[in-house]
Amino acid sequence: MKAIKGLVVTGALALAAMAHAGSHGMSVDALLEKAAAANANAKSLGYEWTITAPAIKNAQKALAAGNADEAKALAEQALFWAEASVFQGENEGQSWEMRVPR
Amino acid sequence: MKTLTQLTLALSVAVSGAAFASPEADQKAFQKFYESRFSQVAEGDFINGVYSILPAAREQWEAIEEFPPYEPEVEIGEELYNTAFANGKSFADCFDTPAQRENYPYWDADREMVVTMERAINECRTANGEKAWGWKKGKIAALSAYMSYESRGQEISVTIPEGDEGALAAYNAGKEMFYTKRGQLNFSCSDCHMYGAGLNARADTMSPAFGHASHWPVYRSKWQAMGTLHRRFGGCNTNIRAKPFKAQGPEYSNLEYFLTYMSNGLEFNGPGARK
Ligand code: HEC
Repeated sequence: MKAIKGLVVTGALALAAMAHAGSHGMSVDALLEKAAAANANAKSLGYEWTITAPAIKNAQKALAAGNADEAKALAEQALFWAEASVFQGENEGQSWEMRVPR
Repeated sequence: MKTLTQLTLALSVAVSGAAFASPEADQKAFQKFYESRFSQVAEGDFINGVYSILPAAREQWEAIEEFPPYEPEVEIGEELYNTAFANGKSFADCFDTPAQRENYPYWDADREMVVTMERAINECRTANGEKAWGWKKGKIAALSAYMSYESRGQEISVTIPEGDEGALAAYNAGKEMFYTKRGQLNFSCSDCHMYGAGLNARADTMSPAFGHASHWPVYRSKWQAMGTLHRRFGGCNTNIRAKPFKAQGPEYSNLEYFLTYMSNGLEFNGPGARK
């Protein structure tokens, strides 16, 4: 049962990765805006990860310092984490009851 | 074919059972889970956390308990309890006795919230014109250590008032918190402290959640100080890279309500000492 659950979540995270693969042509600003919105959504679900907001901040810093490549990589990372945490929240809200012992 | 039918049956029972389970049924199944998984643990001994299932580490811990690291804090707490506020009143005007553990956490139907002992301590202060203490360590932990010490041996007997939808919702929110996977590492409390109890996470063996609420606050050698249960919740959330919730906010108060209710029937034995 546990292995199956693990698979489902891995699947959800993979989906999140695919969703974000569609964001490659985006500017760093647009990526960051999207990441911040997704992170706010994760927070409202109660599923914010500790690493997302710092990654957004670091991307902004890198952008301000003129390190465009680093900024883009960090922003993509942040967006991936933000979207994955939203997936987690939506998925868990549905499926946690299967873990309650009977 | 027979096994298939059994499996289908088991699954449908699991699903429908989970949806409609009463707190009483939850509690029974929860306690049974640990009692059958750790059948070697003597009745009532889950209050000793990981030491209930690790005989080797227990000896060392019992040696520590002979000169308990929380003792100075208990003394500080006693002094705090007996020191008058600026208005001349003291905690003794809020509580009939310092031995209060058995009364918390409880559902306050008027305010529609779970009230923990730490919350009651700070509400006593603010009602008397004093500033609230920080929630996770320091004075609140010292006073709560003293009050827990005075409460040793009381039975955990949290109630979910019959027919009170708010109380049931708070209980269910705490239950959901316990079983949902969180953080980048994608773990639930139950992954570690139920299905993983007795297994190792890095250098630590993970304790059973049955008994988790019995012995707070705790002197932790890692903290070199006392900390409250909500401080520990925050640490366990942060470790899996889930943003922790505020100590004494509704999320952790509801979690405490659920977790303490799951341990009904055990004894309060705080304060505790842990690694
Ligand atoms: C990745 C595994 C992991 C997860 C997830 C986790 N914990 Fe822990 N927790 C630990 C470890 C390791 C310890 C220290 C050893 C032990 O269990 O006493 C600990 C300690 C504790 C303690 C102190 C036990 C004692 O005897 O004083 C409590 C209470 C606790 N966790 C509650 C929780 C709750 C509630 C959650 C979910 C919000 C949670 N933990 C999530 C691994 C985890």
